[in-house]
Amino acid sequence: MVYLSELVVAGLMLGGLYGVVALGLVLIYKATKVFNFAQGEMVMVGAYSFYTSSVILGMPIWLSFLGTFFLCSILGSLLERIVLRPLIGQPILAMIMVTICLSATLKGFVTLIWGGRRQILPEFISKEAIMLKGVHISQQLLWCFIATILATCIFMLFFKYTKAGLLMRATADSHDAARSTGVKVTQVFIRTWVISAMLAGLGGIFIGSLQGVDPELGHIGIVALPVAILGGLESPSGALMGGLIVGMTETLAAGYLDAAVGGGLREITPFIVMAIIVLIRPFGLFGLETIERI
Amino acid sequence: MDIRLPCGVFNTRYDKDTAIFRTKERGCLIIFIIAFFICCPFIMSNTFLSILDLIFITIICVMGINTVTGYCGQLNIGQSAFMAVGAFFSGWLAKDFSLSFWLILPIATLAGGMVGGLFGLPSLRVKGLYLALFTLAAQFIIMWSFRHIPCFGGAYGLHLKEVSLGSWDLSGPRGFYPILLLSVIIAIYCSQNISRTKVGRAFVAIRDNDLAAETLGINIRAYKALAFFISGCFAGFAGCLWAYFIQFVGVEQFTLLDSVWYLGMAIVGGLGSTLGVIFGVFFMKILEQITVSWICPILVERFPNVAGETFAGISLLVYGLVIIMFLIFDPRGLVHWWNILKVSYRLHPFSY
Repeated sequence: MVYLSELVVAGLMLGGLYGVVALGLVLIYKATKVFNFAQGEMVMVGAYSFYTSSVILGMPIWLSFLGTFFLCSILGSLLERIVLRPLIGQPILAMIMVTICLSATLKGFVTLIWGGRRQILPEFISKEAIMLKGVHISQQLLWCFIATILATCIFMLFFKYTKAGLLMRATADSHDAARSTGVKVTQVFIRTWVISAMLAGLGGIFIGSLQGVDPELGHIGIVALPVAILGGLESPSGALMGGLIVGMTETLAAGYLDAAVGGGLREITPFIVMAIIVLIRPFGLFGLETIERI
Repeated sequence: MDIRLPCGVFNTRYDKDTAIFRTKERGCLIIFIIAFFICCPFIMSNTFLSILDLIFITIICVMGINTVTGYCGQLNIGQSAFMAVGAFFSGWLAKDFSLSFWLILPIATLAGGMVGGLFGLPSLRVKGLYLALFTLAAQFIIMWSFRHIPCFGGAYGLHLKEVSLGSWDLSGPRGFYPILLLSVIIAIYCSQNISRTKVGRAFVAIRDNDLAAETLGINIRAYKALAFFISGCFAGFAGCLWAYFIQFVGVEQFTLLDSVWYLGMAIVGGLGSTLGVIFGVFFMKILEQITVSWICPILVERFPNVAGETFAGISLLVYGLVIIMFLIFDPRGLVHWWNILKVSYRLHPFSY
């Protein structure tokens, strides 16, 4: 019983991690209809920015947070302006290929500047686990989980009740209609990418403090794809839900089925989930349903 | 009138119109190029020859991508896994059943085709982004299966013996070259043939508008599955050749990034055209060689205090940037430039 609850808690915490990455993905898709395969690499750049601010430049932790957000916002706006702006209106293959190649480019760029070795971040959350009724809860993961829930709530409210959020949803629905009411579509796009990049930076700080900062950190972006699809690409709460479900499935499968299959189920479970979801319900749990008869 | 043909060429029959040798000049050029490649093993050194061998194998694999994504419009980011199917099946059959290369080749091709067709079945239900994501999941699932099923070598990979035809030993870049050249010619011919038959026309109709194609009576389910099957066949074929050329099959040779580069090569060359595949693969592979063999050593000399592994990043950076720039500035690829060149040459001094 304790084993099961440990697995469930670990899965939930892991889900928080996936959720924060998938949230950035969903944000960009909701506002620009661009599926950002490079979200994982943006998380990685966020982690490296934090590393630069806190270790190389030696700034205090709170200033490093601000520095990370600043650098990430620059990254987001540069990416949107240089790479994604020329591709507005292009077919989906171009958009997918550009974001995938962007992820490779960012990875190469980061390896060039910061080297390929794993770097350690300064510890701002203690590594000790809290014990709650006999179940270990890692503090770092717990803070990430809390941050994800907060971010999800903020964005749910943002998209539903604020003018800027409504503007983003309207622009995603139809650029021309939005433009005809006086909305500057390009500005909406830049804002979306900046917010998503800052979110990725936040995720990067947590993931980096958890497992060190190295160019392979971007792999979490690939695992966040099933999370975003499961939750539905237009729903921030879906990203969180999807993250929790995928995280729990992963830990439970790894905990119980690993012996039967010979190990390694942890890496593959998210992709099996994605394959099943794409076949059964492609728009995910909370996404907008588009029925197209083929 | 097709301005890509020279003056005075008028075809009165359909088969002349879709022939491969449409004009004498084109026929001579094709024969000349084939003759050049036949002479290559005698004039090139081993390093260049092995690069050329890898280029041929990659051309066959990317032909598959061109069929399914270029002609039929179904996104496929799992081609590297289908190639791995061919390679691992070849290695397994060679090791456990001791079959000869000539028997394994068709079996591996069929195996690649079946797996390709199986993982392409979701194209009957979803399209676009979701199909791309499914093939991405397929890439990971297939590679994970190969790592964890014991008969495929696990973490250590499989070793293969050399190929021999009678008393000839066909191993090494120079020995394996004739097989590769013959295979690539067959693959190009098959791909070109697909594009000019009923199957190819159905593919193009599905790509352009599959609802309209369905209303015209084309069975899009069958053709989509067929497209993935053909793509898997190309990949399985390339995988078997890869296994016997490198004589080692390991899981780390077939990653997601490889699939992405294959798709990138098809895009850079020009999707939807056999010539585009050839251009794209040559361009990207030569770029890779230039980056790895020229630029990296220069950079390592100039910045000796930076670790060598940092420059692995440069190849990722260069390929990614090249593909992104092609997508931003000229998504129709190199074959579009080639067509413009041909037409401007034929219409000189008028503008094209």
